[in-house]
Amino acid sequence: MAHIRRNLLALGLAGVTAVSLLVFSSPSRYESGLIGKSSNPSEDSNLSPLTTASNRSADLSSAATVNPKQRIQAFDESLNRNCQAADLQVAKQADWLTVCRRISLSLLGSGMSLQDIRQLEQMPEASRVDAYLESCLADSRWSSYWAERYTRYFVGNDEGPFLLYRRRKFSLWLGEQLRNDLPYDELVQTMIASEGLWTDKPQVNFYTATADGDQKNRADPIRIAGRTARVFLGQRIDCLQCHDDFLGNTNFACEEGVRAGTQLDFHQLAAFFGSVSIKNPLVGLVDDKRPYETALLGQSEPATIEAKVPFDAELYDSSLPNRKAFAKWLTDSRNEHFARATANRVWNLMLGQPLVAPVDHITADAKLIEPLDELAKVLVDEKFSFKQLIRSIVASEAFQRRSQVDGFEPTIEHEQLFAVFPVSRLRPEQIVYSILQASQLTRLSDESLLESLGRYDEGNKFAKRFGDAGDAELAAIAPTVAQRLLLMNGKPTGEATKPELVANAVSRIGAFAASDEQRIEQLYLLILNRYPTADEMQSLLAQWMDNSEIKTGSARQSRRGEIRDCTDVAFALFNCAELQWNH
Amino acid sequence: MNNSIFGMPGCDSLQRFSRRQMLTAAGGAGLFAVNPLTTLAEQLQQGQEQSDSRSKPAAAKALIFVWLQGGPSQLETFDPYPGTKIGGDTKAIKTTVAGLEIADCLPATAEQIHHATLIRSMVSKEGDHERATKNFKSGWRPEPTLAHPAIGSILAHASSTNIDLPLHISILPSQWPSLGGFLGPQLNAFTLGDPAQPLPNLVGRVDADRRATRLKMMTDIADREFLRGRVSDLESMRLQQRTTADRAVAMMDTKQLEAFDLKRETSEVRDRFGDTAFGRGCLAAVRLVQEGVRCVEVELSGWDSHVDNHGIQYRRAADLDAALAGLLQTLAERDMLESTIVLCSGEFGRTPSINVAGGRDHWPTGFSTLVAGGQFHRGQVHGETNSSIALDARPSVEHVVSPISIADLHATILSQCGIDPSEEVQTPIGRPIAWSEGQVRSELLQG
Repeated sequence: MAHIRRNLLALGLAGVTAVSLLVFSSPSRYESGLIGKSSNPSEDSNLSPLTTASNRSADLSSAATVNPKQRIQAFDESLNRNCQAADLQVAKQADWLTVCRRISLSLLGSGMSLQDIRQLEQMPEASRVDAYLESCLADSRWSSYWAERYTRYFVGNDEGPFLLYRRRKFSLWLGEQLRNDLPYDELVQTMIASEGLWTDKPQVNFYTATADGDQKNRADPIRIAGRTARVFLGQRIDCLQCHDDFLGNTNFACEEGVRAGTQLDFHQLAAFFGSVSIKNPLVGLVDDKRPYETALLGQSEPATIEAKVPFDAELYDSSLPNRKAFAKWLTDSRNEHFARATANRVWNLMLGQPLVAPVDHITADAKLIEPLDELAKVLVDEKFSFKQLIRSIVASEAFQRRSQVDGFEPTIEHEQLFAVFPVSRLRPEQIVYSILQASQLTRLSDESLLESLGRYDEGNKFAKRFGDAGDAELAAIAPTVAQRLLLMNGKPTGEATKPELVANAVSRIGAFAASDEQRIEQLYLLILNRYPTADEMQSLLAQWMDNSEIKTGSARQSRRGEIRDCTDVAFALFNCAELQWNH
Repeated sequence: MNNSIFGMPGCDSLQRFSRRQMLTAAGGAGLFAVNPLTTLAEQLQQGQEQSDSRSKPAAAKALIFVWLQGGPSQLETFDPYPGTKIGGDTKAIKTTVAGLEIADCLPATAEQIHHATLIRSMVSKEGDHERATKNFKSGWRPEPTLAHPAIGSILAHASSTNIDLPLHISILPSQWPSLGGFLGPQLNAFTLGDPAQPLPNLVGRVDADRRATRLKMMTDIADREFLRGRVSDLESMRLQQRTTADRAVAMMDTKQLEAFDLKRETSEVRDRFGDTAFGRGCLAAVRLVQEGVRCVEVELSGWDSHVDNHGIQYRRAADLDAALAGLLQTLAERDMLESTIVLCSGEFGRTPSINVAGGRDHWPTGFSTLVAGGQFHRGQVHGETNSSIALDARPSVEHVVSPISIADLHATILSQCGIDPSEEVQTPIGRPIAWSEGQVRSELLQG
């Protein structure tokens, strides 16, 4: 069988045939008595890696050469100390499928493909997670997906000023930098110090996105200051726009440790962006030396305020132009706020919950500040490489812990301290991408994802109808009734559960799987990326047996009856909590 | 309080805070100076002085928000200046309110405008469609750190009505639907298209028995396994799989959906709203309010007329005219105006000058809004714009007599719906904030 598969792939024959052989050939673990065990169906490591017709770049064979486990050791120890101090038992390591689903959701924005799972099963179990991680990092969907997430952080989700702002260009530019693993500090410097045309230099759109405020053809220094503080310093300082912090909400490093922010801090930060002017379409964005003026609380007249960094002034090089100097100061590896904020956000993207919450407001007394500092060290040591940080996070004990435990009852505190993997809500696009992924057997590529979204005429409509949170992270709240209706009766689920042999994986499983046990097993793998438990298998088999059509011996005997039963189970799985939550 | 757009009681996620006195000095009461010019509005209105402390118990149970996306021109709708340098080709017609004339493209509305207050002096600081839309729908200028809820979300949040339908519905929304903001996505408007079309996501793909079997498999098999070995209150505090599924099914099966079945109305009533999706939306809004829905937004988009202003405005006004007149007439006939507020506006108006392409551009200082119902005056005009304004004048509140800010309008409507606009709630990040930063404008109200 392995020989046949290799030859089919090598010959580049229709992917459908090859995939069908791969997907449908394995006997179910239920039938083999393997269900509930951590099985390793084959030790044949010579089989082809996860290379599909649509995604040849995603090569599982190129594993990382460095050892992320060592890099993350101090972080693991720090996090474990917190669990021990709180007297919390930690969960055991999750199975490889669960870990790979987490990787897929966080990096690609969807669950795994059935084909990926089957191919990974042909590799030694110990190498599957690393192999899958590398395949995702090599997939252009990763850089595209993260570029979109970071675009929201950097410029929001608004359409912005029509003539001066090109959000799509900005996102594509970000994707290219991520794909090339441009160090994040360099990326941010490029953006903060950018000049020129928004069409020619997409990073300029960081500023032009705000040129729809009171002053036309000028970036809005207030909005940029607020966003810069949140995204790059992990500080919500927006209240300082109007008054000093009298509630202890902000904290800046100083000789005595930390100090509360002031209104002057905010406007000194905004002053770095006060001279950003947008000239005619030939020049683009430049600094025009206009002084930044505002009236502080209690002042009747506006006064000029000079640009000044709020802390670590010794890192600031005043010989450079203002924005360039600020960008250097901001991203200096000794500026702990920048490294913390960056590490916290990447952790949040990977696990669905930041180490310190909220993700854009990190206080010095936060419970997990020490582990965050350890993670920030990893980032700095790896020269702000996102790929390396991601490898380290995946290698961490916390990322690989189970969320479902036996032997003790987990609490919210277990989740907060990552003693168990936290259950977190998926974003709308992750849900719809997961449904689209589960409607086919092979991995979605960038192009096929767009094609699928177009085919269903859903595109961003799903996210919009579902309640797109923009640049905000989703709160862990229950889905709304509108969302429930969309999942039950909306187009993506409807298409994925429609009896349709050509384009529908669920129907193909119904038609071509060799037994009911295989059907159920493959549906679980396809939609939830795990094997059914013995209880689930028995319950569903019993459900099918109870089917009135079976009793009468009519439709169930036909392929149509098998497909019908599969679409019913698929509907239940598409709508169950597990699909909508990372775990 | 309701934490969902559906009329089911739920836990109140927002903690109440007594109003802090800090930072109120910049409040909106004294934001705009009153122009001392003699005005039509002054001739028409009762001469009541502005009072910012008034908040009466509300009679209004519902809000119908007629949203004109794109920036309708006040000069081609409710504030024409025929024969002047800014008037363009628009002609004016008399209305049922003595001394009040509106554009001749709104003849049916002219016959019903005695039910409403016409504000000709709306002002804002937002001239971009998206920001101005968010500003008008929420009453707050957009800010990066806090998403303010739309007024319909606030009304739904404050309601204890128990119905199967959503309490906050938006019909024909386009780019920027009304959202729950910091109140949460459960208070986003439930969005629908033309009531003549099948309702989106409300019709199942299988029969009820098979749907029940599927949902039973979901809850009893898949969800049961997911809950095993996890935080004990995961279902009740986060997932709420059963609850939302039950509510979704209840909505799919409820007879209250007959509110969308406009065939239950007489042909005379249907015809008065016009044979358009927007007209049907307005009629459905009346029926939804009768079923207990708290806020229905009906959108008519396409008012952005940088080119061929006159043509675009008149074509849009043709759809608006029948529906708005039908709405006012029907609510009055059914004795619903006391308990229903009608708000009709776009995000801003259009420039006094006409550009080289025959268009008018964005103009946020001095645009028109029509409001009716509750305690709002009937047959009254508030505020005035200036026909002698320089054609190259920049937007400024100084061109407007008796300006009304969007925040003040929100505060006044909220007060009419029984909500104290100054009441503070805590946002999810712990920031205390009032429902509205505006002041109740008593001069818009009776008594």
